[in-house]
Amino acid sequence: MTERLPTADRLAALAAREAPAPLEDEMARALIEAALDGALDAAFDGALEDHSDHPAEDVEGEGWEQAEVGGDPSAGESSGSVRGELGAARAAGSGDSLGSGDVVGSVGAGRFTGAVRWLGVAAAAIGLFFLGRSLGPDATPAPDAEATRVVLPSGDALAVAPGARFAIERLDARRQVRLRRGAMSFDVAPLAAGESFEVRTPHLVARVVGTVFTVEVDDARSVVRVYEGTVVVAHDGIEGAVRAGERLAVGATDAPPDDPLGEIASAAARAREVRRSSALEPAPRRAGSVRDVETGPAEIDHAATAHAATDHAATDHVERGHVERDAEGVEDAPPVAPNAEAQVAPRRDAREPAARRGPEADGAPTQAISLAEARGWIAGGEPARALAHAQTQLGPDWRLVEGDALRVLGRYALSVEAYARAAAAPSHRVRAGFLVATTRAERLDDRAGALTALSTYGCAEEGSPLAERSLALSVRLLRAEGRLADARAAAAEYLARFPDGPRRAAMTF
Amino acid sequence: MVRPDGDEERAAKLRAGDRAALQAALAELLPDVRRWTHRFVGPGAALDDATQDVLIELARALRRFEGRSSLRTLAYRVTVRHAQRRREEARRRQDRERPLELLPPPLDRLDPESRAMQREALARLHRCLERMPDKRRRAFVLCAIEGLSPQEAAELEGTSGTTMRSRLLHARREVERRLSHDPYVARWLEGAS
Repeated sequence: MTERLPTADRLAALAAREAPAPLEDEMARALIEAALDGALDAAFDGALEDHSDHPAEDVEGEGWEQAEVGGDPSAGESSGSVRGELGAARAAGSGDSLGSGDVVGSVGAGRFTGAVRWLGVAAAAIGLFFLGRSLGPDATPAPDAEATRVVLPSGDALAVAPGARFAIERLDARRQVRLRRGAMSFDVAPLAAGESFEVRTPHLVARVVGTVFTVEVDDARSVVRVYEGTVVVAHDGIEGAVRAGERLAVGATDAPPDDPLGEIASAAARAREVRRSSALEPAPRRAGSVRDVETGPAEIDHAATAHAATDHAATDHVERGHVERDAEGVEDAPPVAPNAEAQVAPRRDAREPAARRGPEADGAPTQAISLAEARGWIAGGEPARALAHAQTQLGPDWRLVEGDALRVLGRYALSVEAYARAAAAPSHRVRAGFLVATTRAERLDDRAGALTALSTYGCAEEGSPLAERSLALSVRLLRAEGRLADARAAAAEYLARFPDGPRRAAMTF
Repeated sequence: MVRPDGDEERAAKLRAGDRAALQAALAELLPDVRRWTHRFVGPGAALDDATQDVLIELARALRRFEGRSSLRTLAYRVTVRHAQRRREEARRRQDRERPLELLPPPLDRLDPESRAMQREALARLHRCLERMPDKRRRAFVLCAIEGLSPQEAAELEGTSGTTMRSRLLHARREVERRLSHDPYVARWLEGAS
């Protein structure tokens, strides 16, 4: 006998009638064709999350095995080859022997599109090719000497230590790298609004907010060292910020070895500083040497870490996690909220430099907070803090930060206003204008306003980096508005300008 | 329902990347995928994007299809996993608010106040479901909303019918507990009865 629960059952019945409108046949065909294109056009397939018909719990991590640079150091052969075709990457996971010069890399198609997709695949393939070429037959090559670099289309520079096993899973705005074993250095280009860069290891997820850092993985632990900027690290559902000069280790508690890519990362940070000084950008904090912020093998011990972060002793060990501080104790450990629901909440400490604390910390705004740090606050769950600081700053980049923070806070109308102010600057017109349009369309259900924004800010004009996306958005909005003639005209323009565009299948209706 | 049992030839074509076979499979699965995406991601303008993402993942997964479950089960698991990722991303962004404007158009030819009440009741149900543990939420969606029997839902979830019935009962009780005293829902119930 079913228990009678009238509210639940009547709400369920109401929800059952709320099914989405059926797709028109043309739209359904377009979706299917686009999906097949997206799935089959990828030059590399292995690293994508595997959805085989195993139970969901059983497939976790299969993709890890499918990317390897340098192969097994103990193998004697060196072929210097690149395997990029579909399915080839499976060899690494199935136990086939690989020469130490082989490169079995994988780049997921993800959502990157059109020319960007091919650029991404080509760049990654070229990078992986040179990775393969550069690796010699030595079983254990000297780390720094043979680390090899890959530059992604987005400008992110990756240095890969021999023997590293990794997969570049996404090359679009939400770039994602999985590192299974070994060390990589990341010089991440400044992230625009809506962009992110993540590195996933078996032990943690490091989310980047424009920085230089390295990640090193072995069976027992993952180590993140930050040379510039801020990285948000998640482990077991808990997140914490690692800032310049700090090191976070998740896993084994003994001291990790020196960073094999430390010199590369330091050089990248120095180069950034030079670039930044020529562009008059505010410089984030840098550190001459990296300090330790280590955690226990099973989880970050919040109480212990928080305690250590506030303890002024030069070195402080705790049972399950410990923080080591250099003798000067200039910097603090990454703040981690001391409760189970903790988010990335950089804790304030009496010794924390004012430049790191934000405007509200001492009542006066400071110019020393970089855009990257403010974006880090947003990414780390402190949008209000980022908003408070952004509103004290001038310039279109800060308006974008303001808009992002407002959007995260759910204040969509105000975020549109902030984006519009950013779009007043010619250098930011298209990008910020596109954000105005997408926020209006997706958050405010204001299709007409979104179309106006796309037109006003010239998002689809020749030369606009967002022309393809803007035209596709226009078509979608015009169709939703019932303006079919205009939609067809926009679709025709799309097909004329982007005959190989990723959304071409949706342009026939 | 697509059942590949005994259809080794079809599974082989899918694994070989036969475009016609993939097209046919995706076309069969699309209605279910779209509806599940709507249920699990939630109503909103992102439905088509989310559906396309799921289809892309599904197209890849079909190339590894070994016939150990039905295509529908595979599609369900891909959809659930994708929805889960979206929810986690939204959670990280603290993107908790779903503006009412994004809810679908009115379901009935009602007066404006009743429509508003209906939309608000639905919005509250969605918020309630979002706070619910994943397994319970999926049980409620599959059985109470989608109308599947506990046994059918259990097959999709890869669990037993008894477990599914238990999850469904707990989910219904949770909805009842959270919303039976909600003033908006109460007003909607009064107006609808």
